[in-house]
Amino acid sequence: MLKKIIISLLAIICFMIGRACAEDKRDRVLIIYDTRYKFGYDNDEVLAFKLALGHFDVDVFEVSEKYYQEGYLEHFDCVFVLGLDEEELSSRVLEDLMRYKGTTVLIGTGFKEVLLREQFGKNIFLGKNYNAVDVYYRDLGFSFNRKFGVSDNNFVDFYDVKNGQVISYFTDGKKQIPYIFKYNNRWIVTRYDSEGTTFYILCDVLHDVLKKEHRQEKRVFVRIEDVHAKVDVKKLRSIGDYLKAEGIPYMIALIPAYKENGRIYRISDNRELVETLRYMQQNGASIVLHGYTHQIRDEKTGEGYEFWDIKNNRAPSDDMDKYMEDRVYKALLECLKCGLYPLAFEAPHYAINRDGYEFLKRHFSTYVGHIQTSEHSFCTTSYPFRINDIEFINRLIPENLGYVYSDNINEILKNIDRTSVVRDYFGGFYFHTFVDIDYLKKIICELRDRGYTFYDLKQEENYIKLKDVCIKSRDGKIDWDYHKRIDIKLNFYDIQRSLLSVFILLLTGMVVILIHSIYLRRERGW
Amino acid sequence: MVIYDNLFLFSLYSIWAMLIIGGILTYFGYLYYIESSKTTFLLEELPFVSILVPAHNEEKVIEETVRSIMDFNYPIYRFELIVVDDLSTDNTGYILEGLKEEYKGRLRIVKTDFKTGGKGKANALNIGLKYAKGEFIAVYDADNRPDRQALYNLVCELKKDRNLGAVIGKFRTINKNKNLLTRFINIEGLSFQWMAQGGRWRLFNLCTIPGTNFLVRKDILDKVGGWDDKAIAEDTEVSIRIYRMGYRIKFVPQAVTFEQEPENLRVWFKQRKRWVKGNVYVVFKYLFDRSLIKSSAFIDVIYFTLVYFVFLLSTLISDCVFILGCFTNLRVGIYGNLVLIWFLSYIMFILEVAISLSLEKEEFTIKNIALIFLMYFTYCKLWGIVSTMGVYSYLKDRVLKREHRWYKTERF
Repeated sequence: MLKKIIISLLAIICFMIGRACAEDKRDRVLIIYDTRYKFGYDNDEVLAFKLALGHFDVDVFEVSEKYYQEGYLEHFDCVFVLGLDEEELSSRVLEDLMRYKGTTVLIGTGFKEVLLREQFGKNIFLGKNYNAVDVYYRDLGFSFNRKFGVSDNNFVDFYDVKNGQVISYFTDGKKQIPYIFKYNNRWIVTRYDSEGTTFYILCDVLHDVLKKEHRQEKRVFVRIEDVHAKVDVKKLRSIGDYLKAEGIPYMIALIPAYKENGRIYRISDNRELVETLRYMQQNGASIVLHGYTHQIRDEKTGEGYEFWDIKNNRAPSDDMDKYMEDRVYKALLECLKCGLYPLAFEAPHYAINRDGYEFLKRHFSTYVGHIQTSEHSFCTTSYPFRINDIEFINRLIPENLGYVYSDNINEILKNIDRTSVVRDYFGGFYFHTFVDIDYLKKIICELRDRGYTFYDLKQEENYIKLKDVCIKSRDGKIDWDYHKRIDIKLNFYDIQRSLLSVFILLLTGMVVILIHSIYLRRERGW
Repeated sequence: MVIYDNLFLFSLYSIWAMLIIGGILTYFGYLYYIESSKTTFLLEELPFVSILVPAHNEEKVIEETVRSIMDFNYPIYRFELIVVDDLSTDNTGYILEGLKEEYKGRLRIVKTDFKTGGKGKANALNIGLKYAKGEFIAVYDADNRPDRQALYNLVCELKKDRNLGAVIGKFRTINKNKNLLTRFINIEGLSFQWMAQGGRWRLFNLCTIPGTNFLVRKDILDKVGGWDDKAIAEDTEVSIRIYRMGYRIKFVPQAVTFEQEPENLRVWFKQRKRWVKGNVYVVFKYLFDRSLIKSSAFIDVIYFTLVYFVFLLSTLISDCVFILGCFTNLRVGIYGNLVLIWFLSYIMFILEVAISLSLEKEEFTIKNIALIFLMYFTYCKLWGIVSTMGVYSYLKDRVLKREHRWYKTERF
């Protein structure tokens, strides 16, 4: 009887551990890469690409070509091979790819040999082409914004595609240079970019590669940027009135404390501002926390970075968890004090490192903006669609249309044309309060005429949970909860640390006693 | 979610607190072990002792028990044995008659009738007590095989110190090699007694009577009015009353008795459930009793309250959190190295038990140590189930105003 119970208990425990470890039945996708960075750049291209896959509800794994073990790709439903350097693909990976039956996508360069094989349609490499001017996709032409960077990175691997189906191509005025083509379930992307039109085309093609049809929606968001204690309240109010009158939901990127010449002005000091913000919150605005002071050290708010030390190109603190908790918690308390309830986070200038993102992932459901995709310098990637639950992201509301700084409406419309090649495109732009409100009116009218609707953040389920602060939104309603806990609980870290030391002390004591006892046993000859 | 996190924190802290208490008790228990191993037992004048053995359908074990008691290394004219035959329906009475012939004048058999008997152990002991002539009263269960030296050692300690109301000995398991359950019980017994009793004695001069193998002053028993026959665990209950009178109970590890432990889970469940209910009874009876607050026994009442309400609740919460985490997307919003914390707790538990095993000559074996690793997930969980059932059943009885029916542990 006991044995049976023990066995069944163990079985249950094993089952539960297994269950806990088991993945949900999502497609498993592998990225094999040769190097993470393009020569001369700091952007982590593998990370940037991996995050894009977060749009497709798949589980993404990555492995460097160097450490790739034979047969590993058999565990996956789909394999992406990223070629960022000039080296040819290693024969180990190549042979595995030949045998592999699942969807294969080759992106970048170094695939001359692979593409010659029968399985990939015997495409002959014609050399590198440096003259691509436009890129075509679904009968739409876009100019190919070439970047003139450190090295001549603007080439396209030119293949003679006889058997495959070309999905997108470049032109150099004379001939077509295939950009993306497929042969059976093998896809080839001849050039890798993590920005610009080519990236967006790739993002759209990924829907076909991963067989995820997403519904089209024409939605954009508007964000009023850098709202802080010293903002011109009248202008802010007029923006709020206008958007309310038009019935347009929007976001406010709020900086709860303004620092200038060493002095801090909090929003709670400015009664008029608080009332305006509360009025806006009740009439269409969702608040996005935009740091605490939007600066570090003695910089002025709005000018400095807060979660990235741009001067030294590193994180501002070695203990980002503590650093962020400190600032974000202060910011939240300041908001709560004013009856303002942030629902998402946006790092100042989008600059923040991985540790920072991981902190945010634990406490915020939603992040707005670009993603900094480098640990070494301030490089960001902007995505054309929403991203969920991957790496350090819970949910990304991407921003990709730029901002209004003058009469630059056409620029934003051009951006929207580019990004909307993605079938379920989602994006937004932002507007500073000091810019003439007429520009905002213009662009909003234009977007409306084009059939766009405006995104309302608080209609979705968002949450912020940090220490004793809890804010949630759903269907436009916001719930919040703030218990001023006794200090002992507020400081979970300290209590945990001290308990841990008591524990370790006791454990050491136990070990000493046990050794002493064993020694006594020896002495007695037991 | 804040509530969920708080519940989790509560369970985390209380489990830690419990483990830390366990660690401290182990430390002092070990200290007491070192000190007490130097004790010598010497007494010039030996008092007269009455030994009570309540028996209800004990034909399987009673003869052995009587013989081992009669075999005590104690002058035969200085002790008497009173067996209370509480409405036995088997051969117990017959066997006892035979033994009475053999041990003329030293063995007294008290038979209960349907008016007085059948009301459980406390009642049987109270009946036996009426016939006892000794200055000290010793109690043994009918399944015991006390060590020859046990009584003498107990008497020496009790006689020495007028502040002591009772002294208790140690019990070991006879049938420990029978199966996995008895092995667990054996390990549990060792760590519970040595570490808990020894540690509590060393720290607070506090012990509770374990139901067998103890010696108590008769005048005290008379003053407190014997055992409480409503109590479900009469031993714990009487201990608290002894403490309330200002006396203490001391742990004498050199007085050993061997007893039979349940060999299957059904019996184990019933026995332990009774213990749990008994302890919960004590909590309800004494937690709000002001006269007890100054006495060190109040520590025990608080300890029981912590174990059966706070700690039990927190293990249940932690199990729920674990299960919910496995099967749903509900997550605790607290971060920190929780796996490390869990692992440290596990190691702590193993060390605590291993130390108590190392104090016995033949128990510190690889096999037993391996069993400790298993115990944490199995036997301890069973305790959790029994405790929950016991507390629930007690509360139900209380609400429905039912009286507890005494369950006698079956013998093998």
